[in-house]
Amino acid sequence: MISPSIFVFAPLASAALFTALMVVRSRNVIHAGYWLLPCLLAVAGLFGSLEAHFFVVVQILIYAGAILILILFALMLTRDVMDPKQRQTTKFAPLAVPLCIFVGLGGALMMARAPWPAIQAAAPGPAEQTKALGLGLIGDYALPFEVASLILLAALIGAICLAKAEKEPAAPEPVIDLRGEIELEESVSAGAADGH
Amino acid sequence: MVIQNYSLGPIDLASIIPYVAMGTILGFILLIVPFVIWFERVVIALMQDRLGPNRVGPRGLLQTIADGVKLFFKEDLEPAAVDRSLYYMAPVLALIPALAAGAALPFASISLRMADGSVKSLPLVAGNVNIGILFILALSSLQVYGIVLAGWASNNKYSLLGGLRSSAQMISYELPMSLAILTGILMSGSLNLVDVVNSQAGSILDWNFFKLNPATGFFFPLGLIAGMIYLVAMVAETNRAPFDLPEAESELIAGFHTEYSSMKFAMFFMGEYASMLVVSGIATALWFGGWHAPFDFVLWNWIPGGIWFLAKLTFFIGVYVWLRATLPRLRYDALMNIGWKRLLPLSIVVLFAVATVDAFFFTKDTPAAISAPATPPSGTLTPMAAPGGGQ
Repeated sequence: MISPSIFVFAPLASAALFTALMVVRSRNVIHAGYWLLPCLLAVAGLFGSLEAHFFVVVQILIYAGAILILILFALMLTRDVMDPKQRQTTKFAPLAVPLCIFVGLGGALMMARAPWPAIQAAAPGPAEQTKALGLGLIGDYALPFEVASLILLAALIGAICLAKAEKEPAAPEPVIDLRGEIELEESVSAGAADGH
Repeated sequence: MVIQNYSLGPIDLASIIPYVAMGTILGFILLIVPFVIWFERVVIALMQDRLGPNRVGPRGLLQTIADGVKLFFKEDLEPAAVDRSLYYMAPVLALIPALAAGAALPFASISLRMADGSVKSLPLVAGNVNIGILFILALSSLQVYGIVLAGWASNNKYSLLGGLRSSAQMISYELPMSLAILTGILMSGSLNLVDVVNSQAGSILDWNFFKLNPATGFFFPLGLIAGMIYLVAMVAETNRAPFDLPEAESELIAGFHTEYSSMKFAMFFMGEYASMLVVSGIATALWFGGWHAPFDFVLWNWIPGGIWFLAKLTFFIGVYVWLRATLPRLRYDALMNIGWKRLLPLSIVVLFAVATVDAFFFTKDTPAAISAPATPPSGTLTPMAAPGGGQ
């Protein structure tokens, strides 16, 4: 039996899969980043077809609106990104293919064997959903929520430590730092003045 | 002012209101932009003791329409080294989110007398969604793509710098803006913009910006601070002076739209003004009482709510213009300092203060829901909490 929701699910799911494929197929790393945008929006659409309105908005707000922008920002700051000749390397493809097949089959098996609960009632309205989610985050799921935030904090501190540690050796800066350049210029001009 | 709910078979006045609102908001944003540009040029000219546009039409009113026609017929240049698909997508992505965000913006309310004689107050909004404010926030967070995309696809150093600046700036100011909006949501107790506006009914003292009515909520300095944070972040989010670093013409030629000409340039222009109108609309609805009159006074209440909304919107557009004529452009490190070291901590503190006041003095929830957080109806919670835990 085919339920009518398949006509919503199928286009969204195939769009998500196609764009995800394009993310890994694109030779241009910025294009790959931009293919992620329709992919994330298609996933937001899937949330919408499940009537999880809050997740639709959060998916767009956090993933499409903030995280992807940060990814693109980091990509644009990398070197040689404007160079079209640079190629993506796929030298680990022989290793990745069996791994992907294994993970895919394992996931499919798990999903096939999982006892999916039947839908008991119509989904609650967005306001009730949001409320239930908020109460769940400070009630039943407080511990996982706090652990996740702790992990994120650790990642944040780690990133700061890495960025600080990189500054110390006198390596050429890959990022244009205007203040550094101004200081350099000032020291050069001061040196020239001393020479006179 | 109550209007009879006329009906033609299954179609009655109440059921076509969303479509009317959709047409109104879309038409308003698209048609008002030339006049907003005219307003800006004339006001800045007056502030700088010049005449401004005064040749085309009465008081130069048709100048921007003439400019639009000119842009429409200009040659559509495409530089040789651009990334074609992204180059053409960027202006579209700059305009569409701004127009789409208008869909959840309630701008007036209309009273209808139903068939059974009861009077029903209906908001004029295209999509009265329960999480309207988050919807607008999500769409306005997509706005940055148009600019970043344009900056990168143009394959031009100045454009790229403009795009980079814009993405850093919009990420930085989105945080204080979201926290300020969250503060406003907390004060009103709803994510639905119509409920937010209705919670501010009454006089100017009930608006979230002031909110010093001891009966319904007393957040006086807190609401003011959060509202000011929102107003600053809103100017930064729309890349307007004094935060217009992405297109700083003295350093970057024209920033992200250096390589754009003709209608593609006009679409960036339209997108900027449309998003100005939308964020001003949110400011009106969230902080300044939406369509409610400033004083609960008979003569003022006779003025339709839409007029009040329009008046407040015009005030914010005026503030935009005033800022542009007054303040010089910020230096980049000053911009980042204001965003991360001033606005963000301040908005977090205000959010917590409002939450504390709200929890101890003005609890809007039923006590049962507050005292029993651990026992929500499990049948409704578990299926939807699972994807949240999985993320």
